[in-house]
Amino acid sequence: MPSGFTHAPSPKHAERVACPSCDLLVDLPELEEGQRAHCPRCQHHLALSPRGGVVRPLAFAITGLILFIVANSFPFLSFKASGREQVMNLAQAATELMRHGSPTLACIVLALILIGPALSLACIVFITTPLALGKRFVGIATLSKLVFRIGPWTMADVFMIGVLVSLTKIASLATVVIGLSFWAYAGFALMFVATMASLDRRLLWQRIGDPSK
Amino acid sequence: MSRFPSDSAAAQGLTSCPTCERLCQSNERTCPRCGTKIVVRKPASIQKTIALLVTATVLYFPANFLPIMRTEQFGNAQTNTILSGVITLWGHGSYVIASIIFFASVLVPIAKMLVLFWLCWSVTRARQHCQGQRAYLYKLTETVGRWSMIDVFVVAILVAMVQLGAALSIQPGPAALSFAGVVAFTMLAASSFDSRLIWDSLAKEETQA
Repeated sequence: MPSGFTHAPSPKHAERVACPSCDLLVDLPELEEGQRAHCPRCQHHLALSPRGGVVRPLAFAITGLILFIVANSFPFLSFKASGREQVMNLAQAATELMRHGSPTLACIVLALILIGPALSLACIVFITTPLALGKRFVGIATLSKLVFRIGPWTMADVFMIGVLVSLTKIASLATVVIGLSFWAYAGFALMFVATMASLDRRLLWQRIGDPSK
Repeated sequence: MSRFPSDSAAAQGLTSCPTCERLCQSNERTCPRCGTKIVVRKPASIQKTIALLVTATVLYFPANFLPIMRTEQFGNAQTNTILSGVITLWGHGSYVIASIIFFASVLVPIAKMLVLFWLCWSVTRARQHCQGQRAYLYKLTETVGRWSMIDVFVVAILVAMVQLGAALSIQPGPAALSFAGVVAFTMLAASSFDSRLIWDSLAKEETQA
């Protein structure tokens, strides 16, 4: 497949943009599905023409939200030592910190691993559903701004690595049983990453500006 | 002579909207599409970045020297700092996990702070080189930053899971919050730095040429 950017015989200019990373003026070529455009000077990712437009992130986000509900309804991990068993659910990762004298940290953890990612996915569902139907509603811009504002602060994927590290840390102390919530949260983290990767900022805002495109 | 290089949007009186990346006129107050305030360069970018970096640096000391968690086993209390946790893991033969924690919790935060301090200094210099490499370094610090939170989550999970009364229990230490602060403030510092400043130095080379 030709890369579109350099080999296209007469590139049709879709839009003129300024690279947000280095401020170079770039005429973006018309991208075919699945192609990306990078800034010729600083290699910053400028645009992606995602397969499936806004429908794909919508599908990922809905799947993610369902898994999120499952992840909050079952035991996450359980831990057996000295004849006692301790069952932990997901929210306890934050609430136990509160009980042991770190309320600030508890709120931070709660926001980063549960509220932030779930809020992001819920917003994306609210934004992309009407866009997929060629409509928009009042407040759609505010919601999209929120999604991109909290972007780096949603740490479902980072939390998953943290869980794996904790498991190796206590595997020597006791028996750990992995619960259903663990797998559901792993799926949720995966769907979260997939949603963000398939969502193109430029395309989303184009559609918000003009839903008929 | 313009202080922006001639091929930049700023030199043409144009600015990319910080939220939706629409190309706007620099003299517009807000973006017509999404309503975000239009600024040609982030205001007081370097001052803000340095202020946030200083905060992160101050927090880096309690984060590393105070205990991040306390393990109580049959009346014996044992405290762990980030580094002693890494050493214990290494001693148990978990080399991969020990390396991940060492990278994410010790090396990455300090490297990030040094890189950002250096970038802030470099964009104020009269003669500048290696724009491409510096831009790459900035992007790297921006991407890698959130992964340092791993250690905070490890503490959260261990505290939630290991509560077997007198037999074995784990309590959070004061370093956990300081460390979350280090990560948060370096992330804020990275996002308040305006990477376009790195490329604005090309304008000086144009005048000299």
